[in-house]
This record gives sequence, C-alpha cells and structure tokens, in this order.
Amino acid sequence: MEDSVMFFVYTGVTFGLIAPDRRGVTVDTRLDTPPGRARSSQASVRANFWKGVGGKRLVAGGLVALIWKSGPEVDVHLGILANSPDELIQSAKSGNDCIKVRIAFFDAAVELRILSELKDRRPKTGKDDIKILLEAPSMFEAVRPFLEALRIDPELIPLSRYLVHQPPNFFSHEFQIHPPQYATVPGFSYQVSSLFPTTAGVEDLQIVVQDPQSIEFARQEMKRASRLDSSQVDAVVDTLTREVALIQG
Amino acid sequence: MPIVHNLVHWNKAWTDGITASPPTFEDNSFKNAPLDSKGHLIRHLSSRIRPLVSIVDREQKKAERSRNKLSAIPFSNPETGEAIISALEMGFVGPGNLRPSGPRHDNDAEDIREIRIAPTHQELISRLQPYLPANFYGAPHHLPSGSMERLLDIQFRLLREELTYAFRQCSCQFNSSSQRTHSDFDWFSPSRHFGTVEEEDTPF
Repeated sequence: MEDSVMFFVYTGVTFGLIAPDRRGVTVDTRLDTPPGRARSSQASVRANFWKGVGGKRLVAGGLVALIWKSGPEVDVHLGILANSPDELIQSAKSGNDCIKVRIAFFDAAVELRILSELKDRRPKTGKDDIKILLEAPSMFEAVRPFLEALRIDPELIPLSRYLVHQPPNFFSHEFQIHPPQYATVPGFSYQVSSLFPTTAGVEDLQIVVQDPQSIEFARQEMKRASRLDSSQVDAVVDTLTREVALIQG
Repeated sequence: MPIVHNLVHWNKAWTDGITASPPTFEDNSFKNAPLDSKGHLIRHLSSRIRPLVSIVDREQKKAERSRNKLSAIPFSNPETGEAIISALEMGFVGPGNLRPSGPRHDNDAEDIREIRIAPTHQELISRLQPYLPANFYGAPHHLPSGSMERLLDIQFRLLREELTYAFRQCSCQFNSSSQRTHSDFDWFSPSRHFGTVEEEDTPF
C-alpha cells in the first residue's frame, strides 16, 4: 500500500559530447521524443509543446535517474539536468524523433562508463543493453540549499529555546519570552514619543524593558493619547519587549 | 579535561569574584562599574561560552559512540508514555554505525553532515527501511532531547526523504525486475512508442 508516484520515462538514451560547464562535467544526452504532440511533423508545434510544459519537464535543475541495464546488472545513476530551455526547444525543432538534454551526473564512475561506451565502435544494443531516463517532478536544485543550510552548527541558530521540541504545554506554563538582546544593554531605552500627535504634548516617553513599571506606564499613556488604537498599542509594546513576536493585521 | 570545561570553571570563579561584595578578585576595569553593566557583561560572556561547551560535548559524545559502537539507546521522555511512542521505540533502529548490524548502505550516517544529499546507488537499491525519526516531542531519536541538534537532524532527514522517496521506490522496482526475464524490459524498447500511445506522458 504505497502512494503512487508520477514519473516521466524517456527511452532511447544515447550519449554524445562530454563537456565541462559551471555545473561540473555534463553529458549530452539524446532521448526518444515522447509520443503525442511532441512528435508532430511541424517544427512549430513541437517547439510549442516544450514551451507549454516548460517549467514542468526536462527543466534545468531537475533530478533525473539513468537506469542502465547491461546483461544481468541494473545500475541507477542520478544526475541533474543542465540544459537551458532553449537548447531543448532547438533540438525539438530540428527533428521529430529525438530531443537533446545535458546531464551532470553525481558519480564520476558513470562518466567513465559512458566514455568507454563512446569509444566502443560497436555499441551493444537490444536486450543486452537498455538505458532509460526517469524524471521526477521535483525541483532538486530548489530544495538542495535548504538541506545544505540545515547542516549548520546547531549552536549558531538563534532563538533555539523557542524552536526545539518542548513537552506539551511547556509554553503555556509560566514561560517568559526574553526581551530583545539589544534592549538589555544597560542604559538602553525605547523612545516612543513619536507615536503621539504634537497636540498631545508628549515629548519624552521611554520604555526600559527590564522595568515593568515603565512598560505599563507607556502602555497606558499610548492608549490614552497616541495615534494608535488600543490593540495596536498592545502589539507595539508587546513586540518591543520580546525577542520573538508574531504580528497579525 | 578539555580546555573548554576549564574555561567554564575559570569564568565562574571570575564572575563570583567580581560580583562579591567587597570584590574578592581585583579587576581594575570593573572597580567602579555599575551593577547592571557588570551583569550585562557577565551574561554576554556566558552566552558565548555556552555554545563552545555544547560543541565540545557534542563532538566528544560522537567520538565515544563510534569508539564503543553502542547501538543507539533512544532518548525519549518516559512521562509522555503514549502508545504511539512505545510503538516507535520498539521499532527503533539507529542511523549509520548506531545500527546493530552496521550502516544500511554507503550513505547511512549518524551525522547529517556526512550524508550526501543526492542519493547514492547503494542507497537507491537498498531494501532496508531508512532512518526517519518522527517529528514531535518524545519520539525516539539518537540525539539528546530538547536539543537544536536533534531538531535540525529531524528536519534534514524528513525534507530529504520527500525529495528522494520517489526515486528510491522506482529504483527498487527496477532492481527487482532484473530478476525477471528479459521480456519485461521489452516495454521500454523504442519500437513500442509509435502510433497509438496517448498524448499524455508515460506514467510510471
């Protein structure tokens, strides 16, 4: 009982030029054109097919798997697509039976295998040697930076006391959110007089985060005479006195 | 004893010294400083020392674990005691070297920094259940409860699984079918792709 997964399968995989580019070593790869509109006899229809699915199929950064069956051995090699959309569309325009992409494989071993196959003037065909390309609809290159970022030294992540898993109800039982670190420097205070209209005559109103009385006083004064309404005053005061706050509205 | 632990002792001794009244440690820079300045500086220094201790302890434990090759005794909270946690604990098999019979494949590691983000061939064809910790408080895990290290480990493994699950499923299918006859692979030969096939993509 598994979730079904939607894949794109391409047959007729043959390799061409191996060249270096900014993604590493890339292999020109020809694939059978998928059936349907992509095989139209008109170049413009073929080009439009790839433009139409553009962003969803054979896009740079997508993850592909080369399944290579040679005799009884089946190997799986992952790689990333390195071609631009234009390259793909150009190859579609120039013929209706194959398209061309470029793949940067992760394992150097498969490049050596491809090289030795290219050297062999009588390549194996048919049942002895089958190559298929699978494409999963996921943006590997989009997710990879997040995975790399998660490998940071855990000590470098700020606000960890709020982020780590805590027991149930941990936050609702007498849990204090600390004030912002910069606000705890001795001598620091917020000046909120700018939130009052000039007619209110308030020229100096300071909040010191370690002093509950100064916080309450400022809250009352702001509710009495500032430009903000009551709930806005609470939002501003609560945010200024906490290092983590969620503001809605 | 690591120098970092000594640093903790020295910092405490210095802190006690300069905050005692009268100060038991002569530090000219603080002679006449107001109390809240002292407090602020002491808090700041402690917050810089704490991560150092955490890093050293973390790496030491890791070295110990691989030396002793302990199978992972999962950290979990006995108070929560729910049925689902017991079930998870029963089936718990640690990552990498913490697994009793050793790593599942060449990309199975305790430390997420040693895992290659793109799956390896061995990983793709492995039929063993990967190490996927549950994402809530109390679930068994090989890292200490309530630590940022544990949180990052869980998030990394789960996000990576989303990316690689599909490929692993598919690769497993192909690998098992290599035990079937050649004729099963005829489906992929080009000659089958002319004519009557639907316009839509070939779903797998």
